[in-house]
Amino acid sequence: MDLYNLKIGQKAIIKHCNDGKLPLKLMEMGCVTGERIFFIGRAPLGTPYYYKIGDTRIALGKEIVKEIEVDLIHE
Amino acid sequence: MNKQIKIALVGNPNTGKTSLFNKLTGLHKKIGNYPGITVSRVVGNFKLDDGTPVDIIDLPGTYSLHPSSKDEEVVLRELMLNREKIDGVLVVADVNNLKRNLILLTELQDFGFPVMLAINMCDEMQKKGIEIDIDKLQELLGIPVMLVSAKRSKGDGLRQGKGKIHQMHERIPEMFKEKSRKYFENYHLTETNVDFVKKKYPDLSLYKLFLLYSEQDKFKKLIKSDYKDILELPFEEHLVKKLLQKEVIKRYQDINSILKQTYKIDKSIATGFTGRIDRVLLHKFWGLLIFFMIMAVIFQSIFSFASVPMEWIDSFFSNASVFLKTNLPDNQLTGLLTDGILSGIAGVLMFVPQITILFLFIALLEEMGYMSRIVFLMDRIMQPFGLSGKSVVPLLSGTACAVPAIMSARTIGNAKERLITMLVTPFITCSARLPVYSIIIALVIPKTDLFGFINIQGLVLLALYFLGFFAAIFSAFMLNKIIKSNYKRFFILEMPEYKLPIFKNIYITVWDNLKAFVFGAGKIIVAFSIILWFLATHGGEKFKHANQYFKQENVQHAQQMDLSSYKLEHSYLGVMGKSIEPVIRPLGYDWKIGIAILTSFAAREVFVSTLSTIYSVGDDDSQLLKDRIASERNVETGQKTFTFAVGISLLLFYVFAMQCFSTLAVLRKETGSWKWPTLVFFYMTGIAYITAFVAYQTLK
Repeated sequence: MDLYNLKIGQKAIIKHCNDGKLPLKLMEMGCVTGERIFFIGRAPLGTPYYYKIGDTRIALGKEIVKEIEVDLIHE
Repeated sequence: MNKQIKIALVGNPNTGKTSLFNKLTGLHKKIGNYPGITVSRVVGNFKLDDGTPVDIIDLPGTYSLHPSSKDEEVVLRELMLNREKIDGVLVVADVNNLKRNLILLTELQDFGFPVMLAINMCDEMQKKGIEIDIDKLQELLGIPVMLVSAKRSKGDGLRQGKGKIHQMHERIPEMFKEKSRKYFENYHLTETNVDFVKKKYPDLSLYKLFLLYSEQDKFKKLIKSDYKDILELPFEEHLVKKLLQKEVIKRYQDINSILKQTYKIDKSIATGFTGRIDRVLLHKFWGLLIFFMIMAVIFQSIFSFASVPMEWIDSFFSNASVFLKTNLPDNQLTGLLTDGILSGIAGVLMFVPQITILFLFIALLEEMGYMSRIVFLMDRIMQPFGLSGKSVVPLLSGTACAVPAIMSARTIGNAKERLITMLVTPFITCSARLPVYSIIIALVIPKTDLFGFINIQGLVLLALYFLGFFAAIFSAFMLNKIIKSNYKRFFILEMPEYKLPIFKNIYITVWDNLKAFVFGAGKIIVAFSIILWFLATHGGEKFKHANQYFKQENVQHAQQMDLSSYKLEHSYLGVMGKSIEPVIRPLGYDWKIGIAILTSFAAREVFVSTLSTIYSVGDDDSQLLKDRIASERNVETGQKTFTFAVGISLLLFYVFAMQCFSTLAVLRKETGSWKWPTLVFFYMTGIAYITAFVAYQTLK
């Protein structure tokens, strides 16, 4: 599923985020295949989106969130 | 005497790198820094225990050597060109985020520098359940590693913290002994042409060659002659992209395997402190409310808290001036000292309280990690205007000074958003406008309270700030429609953990900026005051023989006019002011205000010191500046010069006009051409003239 479809409070594992469309910086900040991702919430006006990826708290724009594939973790 | 060594301080943003720098160097700095973020290099120095002097260069925070914005380019460029002859690199990492921080470390090792790792914020380890096997980590990375804390915590933490910094001094020489490990060699690049030219540069590491090739657009012009063979290779963009990704993945794999053996975290201990605060500060309703309240508090304090010390400074200088005039012989030199130099200095020091308060807030917000939250909250609002949430930082620090604000736009990755941000930032009310606003508001706005508690003068000031802000937003909206861009917008922002502020850092930021203002802007202001004083006290024929002409002309004039005004009118300065009067008359200004406007094109705050120089020439010095200006009357009509209409017209003129050489110069530097500063100058000054004209003609 797309990261975009993750709901607030859900956890997932990053499956795919490394095709050429996204900036390298995203990967350098820890958004790589196999990393855990947790959807913390959205900004008051809808975007950006707020996640915890690994140990990093990071805010991402919608344009990026739509390009990342994840596997939902059921707990 | 030992040979001096030079080391560079490199690390991810928000790792407390600058705190560590401050702790290491104290105030032994060569170059000052601007509030908010380190956007260019800062150099400081200290001594090792054996007396070896160390120069330490603080570089902007970056996630890797592959830059994604202008401030990150600074790091790559400094290290690649190595004009400073850097001997080694000290990498600062955050203990909470070691994995990501080590990416940069391994890149630096591959680059070929001797490297040492300082893991910062070690005081938080216990609280967060983190354990690190330092010996093992040293062995696996092949470099010296140490735990440090730039923060002073309670009790023995203070001693411990100091001890650790001390240890760092001792260990710096170690980094030159260790043989740095190379990772990149194993990522084999046989697919690229870089391998073919490798033989020609036996001294360079493969990674350095790869960086030269993959990031060549960032310094093509600077290194052409030295690395011709690499730059002549055909540039295969697609392949480079693929390799860069491969590189990051490989590095993460290497680092994961290292950390697995050395780093343990007990998740049950982690407190989620930041998460809980974010739930309030980023809340749909409370988050926005708190944000606007913080802004309101900042502006209210600038106006109300600062007014008391400002009056002290003003009255101190007018007293000093009277004292000198009564005790020194009445000659040219005394005039220069009191009316020229002293009033110039007063014009600078008056604004120290306001600027201090402003920088204090900006430094505090940045230090505590709230600045990123502002970016997060505001991004959606800024988007339709072609700006990014990251534009908020330049726009906010623009309230202090446009020059560092425009430089801080370097952190905006998208070229178009960065350009628009830089072009509209000069509209934001900077601290140099504040003196002008303060004095005019005090003159024409009544000092009464609305509903008994809202200060009307403060309200008008707030309105002026908003006016500048709306002008910026509106202009951004227009520019967004005009400027075309092929770049896609990407928003990525790290949200740092909340921290208690380190007061030393705040103190240093505030002090650096005050120093820059007092000595930088101060020099211009004092110089202008002296020139003005000269021009106001010298003149042509009618000035030299003022006594005779005055008597003759006074007979013809019905109006009474005193000798000193007559002299001023016929001084060089008066002649200059008179010559521009036709242009500014429709805005309601006389030639005296005209002079002040002319001189304030060098820097806005010169306006006030000019008025103070003009009105102190030949006037009674016992009055405060404000009262002197208030009592000023038009010689011909006998009406007050500073009427309500004139005041409003002046305020509007200063909200919009582009009157700052330094801003134009920095725009030229950051955009790379005179095209944009020229546009900004005519656009802003044009709006200023029109609005001031309309306001005066309607209100008079």
